[in-house]
Amino acid sequence: MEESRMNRAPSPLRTICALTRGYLPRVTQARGWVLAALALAPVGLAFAIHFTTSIIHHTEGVSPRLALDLFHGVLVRLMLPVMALVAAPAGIREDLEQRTLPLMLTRPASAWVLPFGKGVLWFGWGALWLLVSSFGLLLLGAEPQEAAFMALAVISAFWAMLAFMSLLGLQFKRGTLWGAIFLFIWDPLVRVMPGNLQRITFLHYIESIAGSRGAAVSKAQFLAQEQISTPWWIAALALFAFGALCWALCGRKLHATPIGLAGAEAEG
Amino acid sequence: MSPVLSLERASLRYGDILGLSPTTFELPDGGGITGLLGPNGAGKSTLIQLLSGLLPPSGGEVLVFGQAPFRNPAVLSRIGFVPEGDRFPAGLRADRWLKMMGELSGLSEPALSESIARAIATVGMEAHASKPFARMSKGMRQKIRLAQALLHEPQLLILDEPFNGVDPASRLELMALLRDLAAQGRRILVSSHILGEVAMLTDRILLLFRGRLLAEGSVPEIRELLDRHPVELRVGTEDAQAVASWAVAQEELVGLRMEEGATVLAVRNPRTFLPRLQTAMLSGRLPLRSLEPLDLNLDAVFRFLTKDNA
Amino acid sequence: MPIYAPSLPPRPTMNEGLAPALVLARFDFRRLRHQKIGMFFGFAYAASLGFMAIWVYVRFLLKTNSALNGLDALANQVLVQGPAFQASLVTLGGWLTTLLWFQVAFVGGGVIARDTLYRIRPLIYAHPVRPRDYLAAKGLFAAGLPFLIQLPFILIPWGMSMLIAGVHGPVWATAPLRLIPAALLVSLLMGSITLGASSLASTPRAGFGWVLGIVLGLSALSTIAEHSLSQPALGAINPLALSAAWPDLLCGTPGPELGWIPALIGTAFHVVFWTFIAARRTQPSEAIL
Repeated sequence: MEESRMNRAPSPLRTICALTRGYLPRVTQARGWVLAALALAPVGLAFAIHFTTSIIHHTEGVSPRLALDLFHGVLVRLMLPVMALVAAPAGIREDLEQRTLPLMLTRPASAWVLPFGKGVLWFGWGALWLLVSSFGLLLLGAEPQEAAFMALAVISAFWAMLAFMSLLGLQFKRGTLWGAIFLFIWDPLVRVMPGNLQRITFLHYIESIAGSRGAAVSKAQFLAQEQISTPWWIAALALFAFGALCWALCGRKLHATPIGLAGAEAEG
Repeated sequence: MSPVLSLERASLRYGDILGLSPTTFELPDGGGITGLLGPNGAGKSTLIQLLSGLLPPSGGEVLVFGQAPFRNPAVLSRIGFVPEGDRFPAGLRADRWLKMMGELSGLSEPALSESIARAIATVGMEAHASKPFARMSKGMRQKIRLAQALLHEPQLLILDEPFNGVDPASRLELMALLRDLAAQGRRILVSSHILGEVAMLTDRILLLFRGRLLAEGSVPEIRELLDRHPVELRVGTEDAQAVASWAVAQEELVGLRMEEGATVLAVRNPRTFLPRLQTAMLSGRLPLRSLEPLDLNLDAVFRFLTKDNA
Repeated sequence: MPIYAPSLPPRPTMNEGLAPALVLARFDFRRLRHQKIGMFFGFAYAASLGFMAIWVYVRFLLKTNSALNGLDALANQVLVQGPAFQASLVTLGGWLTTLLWFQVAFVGGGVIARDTLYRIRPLIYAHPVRPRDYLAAKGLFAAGLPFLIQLPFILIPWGMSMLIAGVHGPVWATAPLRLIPAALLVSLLMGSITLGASSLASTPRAGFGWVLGIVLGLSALSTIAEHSLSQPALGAINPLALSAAWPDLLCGTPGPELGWIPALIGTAFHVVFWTFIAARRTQPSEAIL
């Protein structure tokens, strides 16, 4: 009897599947659709405007620059970080704040799997819409191969960003703020960072995978540095490995940190 | 047989604050309900968090089924835990959440579906299990929280203030349910600050006060503590003078006051006093109409003990 | 165990003492003071203010010190001048506006969401607090905070300039008359978006995401629409553009990003729409869970 009870602890894969199935309805609620909208709206709106104006003005064809501008200027710069900011608190942090985490921690399922098990659901949902959005760029002048690399770039980056934001949220009380500062203030400084320092930004890897950069619009252009590149497959691997590392650290943090009934400070 | 729970000078600190002083006790194996009693801030939730494996002790040792429970799947698979507070996951349906919790306990089909159905039936939520949490009453959510603790048929069930926010009828239902579960051989640990509830439900009590374990034992054992402090008895009589004259001659008497139609006696050692009172009444020397113990209850014991230790 | 917030404001006697809205707003401001988040933003604002004060003095020197004539000519070519400089006192070239949006998102994201998470609103409404009092209190906090932060950036450089060079200083004598209304409008905009976003969120951290999502999402959509349709007026949807436009408009900067009418319509729309959302989401029926 005792041995059978000890064997009852679910495997990590089973735990992940259980969490994904259990929390699946959450992605089709408000926050999930906001995430989808963040990914789809820029491409959808641009397409709607282009389609309408082409009918009104009887024009055909799309400037190939439009897809690039939309991808780099809007999707990568704005939407992707916001998606990570919106999705990360929906992970294990949500259970911490609404104090349901103790109910999960008193289960035999391994605690270290819980952050990834909850986060992977939101990654999957966001990645789905990013994929749709990236291929929507085909309608806006992107080449198929270009669109494929763009899709790989944003999905890999979303994986890494979401893991990074989740880790910061668990590790620090103001983790969400530090993450936002990193994504919106540090990352764009890639244009003025010398050499290898650029590799400490997500933008470097995104642009390496996508194979293109947005037009330089910085007012501090006289500070601009030559941008380095990393082979696309190494960049994708690096983002995947970074994300995996962040998830592992999330798991380690949760496993090692006693979390009582009061939970952690849930204040912003 | 090894004890279900064993604490050996286990303590817990929250920074500089001592939540639980070094505490030692054991709970034997086998079915039964143990009450964890104490006012707010006594350390009940702290002790429960140690036993349920949420927090490791700052000092000493906590063993549940012979092992430390913190992050230990072998122990956690044998514990069911119902925390206090109306906590529930936003945006989910109860049955779906129960399924997930069952899977996290290592259950898989077909045992999983059977366990869920059984747990839902046990708490009487068949008609409402498919509702989202947000549309349930507090009492319903409490029943679902109890159901999640029963899914994997734990040997030890820990409930932290389970009667809070529950209406009187549901309270009685819950008590009956806990007695049934105890009768099936489960050890149940229930914490409460309501003495009456604990007195009705439990056969063993742990009394906590300001992070210290004051007393531990079965209800009769706790009641024996009454021998150490005066107990008030109201004796209803037509001849209060006769009762008073008789009582004054008894060595256990420590106080006396007269009331309309009654005499209130403060006595030590009611176990020796009451048989003599009964004999005197039967012999006709004392015309008694009624005998009412005013504080022969857990409340009195608790006040007595906490007054000593305040 | 009943929900109990030990630091709730005392129950106000009807028609005596402070209005409930002010009591609740004071509670939020005091709460913010106790949070250590002021350390980070406080440092950033203090550093920015220090930089601005130094910059005002440097500009004064460039204008008055004949030894720096050569540098003055260079500065005139490279740096913003005239009305644009006055407007930049509250934007710092966009840096201060960005920082302010961040803070408004981080602090304001929890202004209603925190009460939602801890289910405090039913407790508040159990006191003589009407839903409009609650909304007014939260609005006062959400809009008041950015306004109070912008005030030193207007008054300190202006005060410095008046002290060192009177009406001929680098900062116009009428700067506060232009920038304070601009700060007020920007604060109203920030406050209303924060209120609406926070009322949609279930936790303070989610509120942070909601505010940034709304601000940056609308910014992205507006940018797309503007460029695709070549209609700069569509920038009125963009909260970031609106917050940058008001100082420019009120200081008379030539060629502002947005004209008066789009800026007015855009600001009014955001204020009304997000306040409406917040009002709907904080009705007592919604607060009962």
